[in-house]
Amino acid sequence: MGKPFTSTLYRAAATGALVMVCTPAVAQSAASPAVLANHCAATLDVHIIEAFDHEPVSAANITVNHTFAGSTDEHGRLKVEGLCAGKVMVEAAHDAFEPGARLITLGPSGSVEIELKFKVEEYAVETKVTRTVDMRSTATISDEALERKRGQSLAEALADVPGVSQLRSGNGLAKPIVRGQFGRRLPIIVDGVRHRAQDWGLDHAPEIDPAIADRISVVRGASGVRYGPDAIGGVLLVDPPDMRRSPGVEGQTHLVGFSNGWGGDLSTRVQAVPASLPALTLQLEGSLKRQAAARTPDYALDNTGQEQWTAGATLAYRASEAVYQLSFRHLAAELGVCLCYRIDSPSDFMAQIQRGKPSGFELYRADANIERPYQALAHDLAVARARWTLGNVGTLTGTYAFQYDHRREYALVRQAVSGSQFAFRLWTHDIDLTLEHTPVHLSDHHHLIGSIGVVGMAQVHSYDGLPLVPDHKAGSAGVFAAERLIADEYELEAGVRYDFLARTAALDRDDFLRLVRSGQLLNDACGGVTDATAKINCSSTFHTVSASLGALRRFTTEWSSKLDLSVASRPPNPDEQYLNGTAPSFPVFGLGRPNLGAETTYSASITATYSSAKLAGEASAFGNYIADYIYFAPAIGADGMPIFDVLIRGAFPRFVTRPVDAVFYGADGGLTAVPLPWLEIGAQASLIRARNVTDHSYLVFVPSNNVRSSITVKRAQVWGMSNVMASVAGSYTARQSRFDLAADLAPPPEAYFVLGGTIAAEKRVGNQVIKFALQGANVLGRRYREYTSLMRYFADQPGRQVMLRVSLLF
Amino acid sequence: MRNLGRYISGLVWFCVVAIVPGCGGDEVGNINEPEVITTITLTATPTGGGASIVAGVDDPDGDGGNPPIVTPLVLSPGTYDMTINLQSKLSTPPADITQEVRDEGITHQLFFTGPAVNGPASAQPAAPLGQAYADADSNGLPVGLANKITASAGAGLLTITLRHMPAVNGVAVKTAALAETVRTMGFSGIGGSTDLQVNLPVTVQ
Repeated sequence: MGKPFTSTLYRAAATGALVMVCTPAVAQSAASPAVLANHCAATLDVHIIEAFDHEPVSAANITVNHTFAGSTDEHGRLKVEGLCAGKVMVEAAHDAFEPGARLITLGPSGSVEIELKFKVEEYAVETKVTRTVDMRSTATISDEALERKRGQSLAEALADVPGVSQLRSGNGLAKPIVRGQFGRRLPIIVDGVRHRAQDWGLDHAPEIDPAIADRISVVRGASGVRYGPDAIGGVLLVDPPDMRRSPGVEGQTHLVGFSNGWGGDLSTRVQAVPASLPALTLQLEGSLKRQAAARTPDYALDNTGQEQWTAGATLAYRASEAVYQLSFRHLAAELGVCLCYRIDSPSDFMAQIQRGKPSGFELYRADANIERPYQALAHDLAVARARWTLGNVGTLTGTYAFQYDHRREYALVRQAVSGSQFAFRLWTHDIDLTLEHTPVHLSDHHHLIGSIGVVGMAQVHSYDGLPLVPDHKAGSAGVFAAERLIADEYELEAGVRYDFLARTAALDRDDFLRLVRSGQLLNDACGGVTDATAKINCSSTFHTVSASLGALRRFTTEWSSKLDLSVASRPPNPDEQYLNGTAPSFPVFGLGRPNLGAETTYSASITATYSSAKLAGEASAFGNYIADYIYFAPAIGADGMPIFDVLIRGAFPRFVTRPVDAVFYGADGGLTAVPLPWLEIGAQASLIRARNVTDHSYLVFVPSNNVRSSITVKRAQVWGMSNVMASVAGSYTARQSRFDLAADLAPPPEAYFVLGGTIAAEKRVGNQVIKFALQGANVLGRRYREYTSLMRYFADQPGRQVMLRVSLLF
Repeated sequence: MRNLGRYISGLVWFCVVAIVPGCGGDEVGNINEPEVITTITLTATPTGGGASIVAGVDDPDGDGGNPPIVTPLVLSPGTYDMTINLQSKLSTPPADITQEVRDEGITHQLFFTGPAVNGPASAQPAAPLGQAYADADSNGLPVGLANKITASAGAGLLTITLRHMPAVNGVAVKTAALAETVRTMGFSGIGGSTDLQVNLPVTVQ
């Protein structure tokens, strides 16, 4: 299932360019020029955009020197030929807008951009964020490509994007990996708000249901300036749909059935605008998912069932110069952890690696019961956002968000023991105030857009359970500014950001002493132990600067390239500073280092994009040098040998966080060819190399080389069904030959090839469209293990999966 | 700058407390620390009578920190009744877990392995200790909290392993002759997971 998103991706990227940029070269191909019978040779490119968010205005009637010249196309453009040089009056009219006009002096050729303001009674201001072309390599999945992923997790939804892989921890549970970075180095932005959760744990899949999204974008490369200092690997943007603006009701419902991990997923979303109050939009959404345990080709992965429900509501109100939006989303899930996991002691773990199949797999069943061990999650996200038009200054967007993340993990314990063994609660308030200034038109061909903003965060973390991580309180503030110069053939962008973070961790006395005894902390650190019961408060503050420089060059209508140079600094997470106990996902004894500083990444990436009617492709190469990369790896003693801690369950290898210098480099890209109107061929590849240059060792969980390709056949009509398509996709993942056995604990699994396929069609019934799809994953039932899966130590990946999807759009 | 940081963090903290209702640590208090075993005590009582000999491994601060304190088992040749006591010292007062394990005997078993012991789980005919189970769960299978020990001169290392073997899908994982399986295949031959595994030096003189 490698390919299908790509065409959408490049289409989206191209549209993005057209929306924001005065690029006559690109626009000319879209519409045939209007010719005025003036018998002169001058030409004029007219571009009409909304004054508020710079979306193109189509079907605007253009008059030149009071003569009707034509209407703008879908990109808001009209090319007028046969004009005479000199003073020219250009006027634009559209029912929904106040009329606009500009008087220009025309040479042999010229261009003019006219901003139209909505008529007040139209309430037509949109809340969506203006989408400029990112200088980093980006990929967006939306529409059909996203529909194909309904019912699946966020990481699975993104898994077909070049350079993206999954850090799996169970059936469908996974964290996305972008160019080798995940979790704490890959923030996820949901509806413009940073997702705040326990993203440090390898087995903590993000508490996000992709059903809420209308678009999911992957930005590859350090994006610290806009998204915060920890976006050093890139960022994932999960964007809910735009709010409907005209009176009426619309919605969609998706029902997905799964054969492996027997179960289903029902998600629905409805938007309504009352005719009596067209300024108001209400959106309701919800989803319900229940899956039994999955099976490998040989045995069931007992207790990998899951249960999840989500509910959300959004209310938007559009006034003449402002938009207000209020939303609330809740997710609750219970996720079974495979019984095959053997992480209680290193000897059990190593014995399991030797066995090849899980101990006792003969008793495993693919039933729907979720028993210990399991994770119970709940996440709330409340967002209040307002967007004001400030006259000629620009638009000001203010966002306040509150998130509550509650994670409980239940270990397999004696029956006499109740409750969870690990319970994390995290409350976070975020504010973000961003001013996008009105475009400054330096000339007809040079425009300046940009934004400045301030952000703030306050957070409380409360932990109960076996020794692991401390409670903490944290506050941060940041300020950023970015400007972009847009010319016909190139764009330049520069941005800078400063962040301040203050955090106080409250360590239990025993935890503090444990860090002291292991040499991670001095015994008088943080004021030392004052009395037997009080917690020890360890404070740390970080000042970090992020900056970026980007350039985009359009060589021809088809070719463009982008360059990004970024630097971003990420302060350590509390777990990296204070981790203290046996890690929940590995039989290792983990210790943090309280005096860690920020890690700084210097990243460069160059991206070339080609887009024509028959061929679209993007290729990108990147290199990141990360100074003081915070690495969790085996502790080495003075004798050069790994340190073991003798615990009551045996001798555990000691892992500590420590700063090393690391490099990540590689390339990824994809190509979609449409040689015939009914045939689409896709191919993509990704390659990542990562090294710890301090110790000259390889880093763990770096995805191995991957190539995918696909063939899609489309027919407009077959047997009364429309938009019929069939697709076959294959994915080959090489064995990771670059590994460090001491940190990896087991050698990487063998290379594998998996095949998937999709058959989809749609049927119109009245005003509704019903879409059907039959999808298969690992259809050959291949037996394989994945290097970036925690399951690789214990069991194979799930076998053949068949999904049936029915979507109703109304 | 440090003071400024404190000031800001204090201010932020105040705001958070003022805004977040009930973030004090209310309903999540049902964490059961006693589930972690920190201490195993062996008490060997000569069958003919006499003073009991105590040995064991004690890790009162739990994982990490101070290493466990090991009290070697030093016996005179003879026969002993040896009982095992399990505790969690992470709670105050320490919680006795022995009875819990006995009550859940059908999912627990102790195994005695290593060069110092000859018994159902360990084929070491020349070992200083001979071990035989002297208790049974409700299915008649050994638990290992009570044992018969025969000591003869020698020394070596005794490994004691407590295995937790909950039933999988209603089918018992703790079955007959598990000790014999461990003797031939090691612990990878049986199901369940390790709740405790300690090494104890043994001297019989």
